[in-house]
Order: sequence, then C-alpha cells, then structure tokens
Amino acid sequence: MASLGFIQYINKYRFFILSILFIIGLYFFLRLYDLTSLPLFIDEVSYVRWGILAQTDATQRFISLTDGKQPLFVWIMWPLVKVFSDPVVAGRMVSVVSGFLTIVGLFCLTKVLFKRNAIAVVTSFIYLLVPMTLLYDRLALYDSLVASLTVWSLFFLVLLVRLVRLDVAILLGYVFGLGLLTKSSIQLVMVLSPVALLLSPGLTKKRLLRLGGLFFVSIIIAFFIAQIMRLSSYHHMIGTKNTVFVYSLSEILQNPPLGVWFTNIHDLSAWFVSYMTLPILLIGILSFVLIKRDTKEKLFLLLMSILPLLSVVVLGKLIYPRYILFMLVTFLPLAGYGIWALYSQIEKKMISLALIFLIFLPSIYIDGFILKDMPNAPIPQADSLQFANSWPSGYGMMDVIRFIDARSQEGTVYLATEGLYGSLPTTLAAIYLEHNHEVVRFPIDHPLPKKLPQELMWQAEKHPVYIVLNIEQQAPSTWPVQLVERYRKGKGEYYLSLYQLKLPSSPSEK
Amino acid sequence: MKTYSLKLIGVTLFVLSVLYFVIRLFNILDLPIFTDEAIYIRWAQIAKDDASWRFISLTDGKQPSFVWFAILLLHVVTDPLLAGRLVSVISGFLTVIGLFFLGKELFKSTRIGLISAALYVVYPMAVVYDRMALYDSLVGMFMVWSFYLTVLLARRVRLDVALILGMVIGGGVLTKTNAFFSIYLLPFSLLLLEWKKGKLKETAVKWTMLAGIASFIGFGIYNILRLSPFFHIIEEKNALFVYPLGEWLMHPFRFLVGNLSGQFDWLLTYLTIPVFALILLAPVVHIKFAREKLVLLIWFFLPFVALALFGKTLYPRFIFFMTLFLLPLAAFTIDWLSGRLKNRLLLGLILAITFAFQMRAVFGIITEFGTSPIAQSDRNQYSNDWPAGWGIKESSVFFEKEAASGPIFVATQGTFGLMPTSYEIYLSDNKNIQLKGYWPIDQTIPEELLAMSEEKTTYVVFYQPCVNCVNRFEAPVGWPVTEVARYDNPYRDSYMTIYQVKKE
Repeated sequence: MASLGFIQYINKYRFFILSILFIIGLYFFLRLYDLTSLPLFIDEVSYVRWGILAQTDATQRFISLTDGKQPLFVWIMWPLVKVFSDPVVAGRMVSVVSGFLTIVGLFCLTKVLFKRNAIAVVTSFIYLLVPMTLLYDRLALYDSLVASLTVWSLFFLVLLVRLVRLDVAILLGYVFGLGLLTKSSIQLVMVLSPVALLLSPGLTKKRLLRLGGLFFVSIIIAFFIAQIMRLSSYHHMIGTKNTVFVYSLSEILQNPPLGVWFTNIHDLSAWFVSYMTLPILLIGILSFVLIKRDTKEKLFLLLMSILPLLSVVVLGKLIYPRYILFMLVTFLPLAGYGIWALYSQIEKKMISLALIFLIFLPSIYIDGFILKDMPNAPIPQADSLQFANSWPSGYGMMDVIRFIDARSQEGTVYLATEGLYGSLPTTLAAIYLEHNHEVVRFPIDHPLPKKLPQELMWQAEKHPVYIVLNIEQQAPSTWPVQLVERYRKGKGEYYLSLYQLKLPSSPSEK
Repeated sequence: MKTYSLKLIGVTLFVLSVLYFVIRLFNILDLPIFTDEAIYIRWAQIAKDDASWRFISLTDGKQPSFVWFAILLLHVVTDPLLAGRLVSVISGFLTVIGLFFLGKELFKSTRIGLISAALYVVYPMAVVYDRMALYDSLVGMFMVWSFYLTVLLARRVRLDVALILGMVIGGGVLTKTNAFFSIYLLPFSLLLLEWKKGKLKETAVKWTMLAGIASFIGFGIYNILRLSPFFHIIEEKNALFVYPLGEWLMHPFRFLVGNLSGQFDWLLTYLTIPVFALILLAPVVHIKFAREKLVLLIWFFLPFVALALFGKTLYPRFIFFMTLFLLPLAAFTIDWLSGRLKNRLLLGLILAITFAFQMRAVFGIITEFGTSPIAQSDRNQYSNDWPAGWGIKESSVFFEKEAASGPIFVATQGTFGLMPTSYEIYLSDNKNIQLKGYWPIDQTIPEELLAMSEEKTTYVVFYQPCVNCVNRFEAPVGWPVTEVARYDNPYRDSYMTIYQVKKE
C-alpha cells in the first residue's frame, strides 16, 4: 500500500521531480565545467592561501581577520582543502556548494512566497543561467556565500512574519549569525528586515509585539554567533577595513559625496543590468503587471533588492560589481514570477516558449563566454579587468610556477616575487612552492627598489635567480636582468613578466 | 496541576532569591583563594587584556566558557577573586530557576518546583561551589537546563525546544567535558514520550530527528574549540582524570568499588542523611510519575557509575552536577508528605530536621569553612591544606607596601598553581614588583636569586612541602634567607613563610 502511494506520488509529480533533477544536474555541470580554466585572481589567491593556512596551522584559524575579512568562508574551505588536492578547486568549491544552497533557498523562498511549485522551479532555472550567479559560483570569493545566506535569511524572515514562531526566529538568528561571520553586508538585510512586515497577515499590536520579541531573539543569537570573532585579537580590523569601502554617517553628513553617489548610481545600475541581462530584468518588473496578484510579495522582493542597492549608492566609497550579487539574487523570484505569468497568459504555448527562450538567450550567450572565453566575456569591465584582463588576473603565474618547479629539479632555484602582503605572485608562489625545498622564495617589496637586494646578487653567483613582476610592466633599467617570458593577461595590455638575474659570474644554463 | 496565583509564586521565588544571595554572598571572600581558582582567574585577566589569549584555558586542557564569563565580570568588578566567584553565584542562581522549572514541568506541580529550588538554595554542596571560582557551578547550571529542555523535548517534540537545547548543550560542553552526558543521556528521555495510540512511531521518529538536531548544534558549538591550536590538550588532560578506553579495558573493575564508596561518602555527606532518605523514598511512596523519577535516577546514576568505572583522579566536585537531579526527587517526597501527613506537627518536625541538617552545614560553610561538616577532601583542599591560599591577600599587601619604596623581586615556591599565579592576579600591574616561580626547590638557593638580591630587595615565599625542605612550608636550611613574615592557616598547623634573601 505504502509503495503504491509512493509510485502514485512519483507519477503525479513526475514533471516536477524531473525538473528538479534536471536543474540539479545542470547546476553542477555549469558550475564544475572546466572550473580551473580561469586562473585564480588576486583576491581569490589570498582567500585560498588563508584556507590552506587555517587548515594546516591551528594558530591561523582567524587569519582572514588580519585583513579585516570575516572568517566563515575560510572555515568552510578548511575541510575542503583536505578533500581536494588542487587549492583552486578547494577554494572555488565553497562557492559551488554555496550556490547550490542558494538555489535550494531560492526554491523555498519562492515557494513560500507565491505557493506555486512552477514559479519556484522557474526561479531556480533562472539562477542557473544568470551570468552573475554562474560567474560568482565558480570563483573563490565570499559573495556566493553571502548570497546564499541572504536568500535563507529572507526565507526565514518571511516564515517568521507569517508564522510568528520561536523556532523560526532561532533559525533566522543562526543564519544572520553565519552572515555576520561572512561579510558585513548581511547587516543591510538585518536592518531592512522590517520590510517583511508587508507580508504579515493582519498587524495587531499583540502580533507586532510578539514579532518584535522574536526578531529580538534572532538578533541576540546572531550577535552571540558574531562574538566568536572576538576570540581573535584582530577583531577590530573588520571595522577598520570597512572604513576603506564604506562612508560613515558622520562623513556623509559633514560632506555629502554627491559626485561619488552619481558614479555609484551609474555603475551599480549598469552592473545590475549587465549581469542580470535586460530581458530578465524587464520580465521581473513586468511581473507586477502581467498578473496583478501577490503584490505584497512582489513588493517585498523588489524592496529587498532595491533598498540595499540604494544603501550601497549612498554608503559605498569603493564599490565592486560583486556587492550586488545578493541583491540580484533577491530579484530573481520576480523574474521567475514574470516568466511563469508570461507562459500562463499566452494561450499558444509555442509562442510563449519561444519568448521565454528569447529572454534567456542573452544569458546563454554570456554564459558561453564565461565558461569558454572569459577574457572576451561581455560582463562589466570592472570585473573582466579584475578576473582576466588586467594585473589582478592570475594569467601566467601558473606557467611561471611550472617553469620554476621544473628548474628546481636540477638544483636550488631562487624566485623573487613582486610585492609582499596580498601580492598575487608572492602568494601563489607560497601556495604552490612552499613544499618544494629546492625553491627559495624571495618577496621584494613594492614599489620596486632601484637596486636589487644584495642577497639576490650573491645568490645569483651560485644559483639561478628568477624574478616575477606583475604590476610593474618592466623591470627597472638598473637591474641586471634578462627577460625570460611575458604572459599576457587575457586580452588586456598587462603582462606578467619572468626575468632571470644575469651576472657575469652567474652559473651558465644547462 | 494545582494552580497557584502568580503573585504567590513570585513572592516565594523572590524570598528564595533573597535567601540564595544572602547565603552565597555572605563572607564570600573569607575563604582564601584556592589553587584552581587562582589559575582560572588569572586566565580570565590575561584573556581580558589580550584577545590572542581568549583560549588560554585550553593550554591546560580546560574548556573556556568559565573564563569567558569571568572576563565579562572583570569588566565590572574590581576584586578579581570576587569577579571569578560571582560567575558561580550567578550560575547557581540560574540553577535555582532551572530547578524550579524542572520540578514544575516534570511533576506538573508548581509546589514541587518551588521545593526543588528551595532545596538547592540550602544544599551544602551547592553553597560550597556557588561561592567558588570553579567550573562546577556553571556545569551544574547547564546540566539542569539541559535536562529541563530534554524533558520538554520529549513531551512537546518541538523544533524550538530542540534548537534551544542544542545551544544549552553547547554551552555545557564549552564548560567541561562531563557536560557531554547531556547528549549521551538524551535517549533515556524517550521514556517520557507521550505514548498516544498509533502515534508512537511518528512521535519517536520526530523526536529522534529533533534530538539529532540538538546534538548536532551542541557538537557544532563544541567545535568552536578547534579555533584554538590547543584543542588537542583537552583530550590529553581528560586522560589525567579518566582512564582512556584501552587502559581501562586492562583493569575494568579494579577501582570501581573503591571509587563508588568514596563517591557515595561524598554524596551522603553533602546531601545530608535526611535529604538522602527523602530521595530514597520518592520512588516508593507513590507510583505516580514513575517514568519521570526513573529518568531522574538514570541521569544521576549513569554518570555516577561511569565516573566510578573510568575515574582515575577523583574530587567531590565531579559528582556535583549529578546530584542536582536528585533534588526534585526529594522535593517530590516532601510534597507527598505534606499532602498525606494530617499531623502538621509531625510534618513540621520532619521538615525541621531535614533543613536543620542542611542549615547546620550551610552555616558552617559560610562562617567556619575549615570545621564545616562537608566532604573532608574538599575541606582540606579549599581550607585546611596548602592548596588553600591563606596569607595570599595579606602577603600581597605586604609586598605592595615594600614595593612602594623601590623595586622588589618576589620568588615563589612553584611555577604553576597557587604560586605565583595568585600574586600575578594581585601584583602583576605593579611595575615595581617582579615575580617568578621556582620548581623544583634544590638544597642550594638558585644563583639567579642571589644575583637578583644584589640588584633589589628579593623575597622568597614558601607554602607547600618539598623534598629538600626539612620543615614543611619553610625554606631549605642551607638557603641564605631571613624570615620576614609568616601567615598561619587558622585550621591546621600549616603556614606560608616569606623570606628575604640575604645579600652576599
């Protein structure tokens, strides 16, 4: 009897179950396909290095705080470093897993908001294809994790205002707490939580009081979880680092940075459109008019997407496209709703399917580039420069590492790298060459000195000494070096250069 | 459940609270600082001032939550010893509240809840540990609340209860390893499931999932300790007090009887005979709430026997949290007697005798600890033997006075423990005082001390027996030192001696 019920259940929901399985399969295909083809860019390099250090050295568990970054990303990476031998995979798998949790969270959020499996499935499908989510789920950055925690925060927030239950409040507190352990931007979601009151069925004073009390419980739990960072002596660095990226209220009041605000509005809106693609953005907005139901739910999503964006406009001192990921993801259920509405409003299904295909076409086009040809991907320039076409990109460095590794088979090799803390060549060399005892790593502080350090000059008499430059495009003319190879950064004007120190007394090449 | 007005309950709880704080705070600083207290308080001071040492207790294999709570109190209380002891006072108060809710929930009786709380207020063992800067009062608090939430989980089978239980278990395991019993003993609360017809399987499955969530959260919180490089020391330290399985298998029952007898002796002494009798009567006076009584007994009995089986080095404080589950049983019997005994005089007499034993011990603990009727090993450790810091306060004042006129060097017998830790607590901020511990003590004075005595006035403090000390608590006879002060233990022929090193 029970097995018959199970079979009936499968039959009834066959299409739904197949859709879910298809989405899961496609998700992992898109995220894992050639995951390492794009070399680690500068920020990923630091995070991956932190993950490795935190795993191997228990005194470094809070290492990210030394740079004012919260530690959760590094902690999640810590077990993955044990599982995956390739550090690139270990770091990026954090985002792959986070993205998967986001897709599950989006499904739940959409389902609980609109109570329709179809909209939830479509929203999940949009998540698969939107260029920004595809790109960031494949990078070892904090933002995919932030997006995941944002979506789950919103899910529990909606449940809280609807059910007014302690267990939901506690779970919301946990998610907020994990968010605070990931990135300060989760505070925007916390501050904007009252927007969820839109969804409360009837707002009596008693209900409001209970909600207030339960939300207080969530905040307290989140606060306690965030206190874990006080176990490190670098806890204060978070505040210090935030001042680099965010204006304080007093700064804004004293001298409103109007110019920055205009630039921010321009940049953020351009990034939003570019990464979401215009058709998906439009269908999201059209969701309000295609079917005039569920307005409060749609408004909630729109506000939770737009208000953080406006906050970044006002508060952002130094902004990057990645900041909008969690806002963009919050918008996706609207697009899901819009597509579902489009499909159900047009009687001729072939036409509606063709329209839907056209909506996805730009995303699919960009996705192709992200997977196969990142330097030419039509994504915001700020990102394409960082990830592929300018000095923060990691192109060339793995070739250098392979070259040095090969040279070290013949004996001791010195590798001087440009930059100390957070430098791409220095950190990558540390990741890949620290266990090679034949390679002596020698970081040179930036800006480069006119004279090469004496130590290198001495060593050059006995061993081959190589120098990697990443930011500087040419070695100082006063250095006795010879160019070995230049590696272009994507399609950009920047190159990573490998030089060999050449003295009259240097050992000759074999 | 008989209903009482909220006002009556509130007034009773208020009276109990006042009584609680009077008993816990009266003369709280009269008992000198004890070795372990000194260590924990010093850790808290260091962790407060230097964030990189927030896990300092792990260097000695101890979990950190007591130290973290002490840090908070050190921010508001100037006397470090008082700050440390207040952690236990507050923990004990939360235990009173926890026992009230536990008794009320378990036996569906507000009165039993109130009696349980009252029994705790005058429970001699609680009075000892709620007044000391040791981990055990805090562990007791977490265990009582874990048990209460375990009961709630079994009866309500609700996610919110599981989530809170997980956090409380987490708090416990961040305090002491024995709080893991709150996870190990979870399955026994299945006895308390509401066995509705046809719903048992469904309820049991749901309970299992929720208990799993609670345990998962508890373990998750415990993993915070992995953020410290000293995490592994916990296990090493546990092996000092408990036999690891491999070692235990070689002699599984060799120490069982001896340990059980010792533990039982402590139990009886601290519970007092009348309360113990009330506990024994609880299962037999009435069949009602048999499952609840059984679960209480299991939560006491299994850890008690486990300690006897695996315990290597035992102290009375290890059984403290277990004994707390017996108090609601005694409360049940008192409640039953008050309902059954028509002769109010007889009831009054029974209660008077019960509480007289307790009050006698309590009075002794807060006025004359060294002669109080508590477990002898506790009396010795905390008051009558060298681990008790008689003279620490006075000698600290002495050194401060000496340092007012110039830099001094204070050497202590011992490098870790009461000395020099307790001096570090009181004197490390004084730039004129340099402290250093020495161990072992040789027949000849360390060269460093002689050299130091040339630079500044140099003192040496002796307070414990040593191989080369002919007289206990005194310097070896060959040392070129002069006695300058001596502080006696009022209960025993032991003392602390301060010497000044003679200049060559």
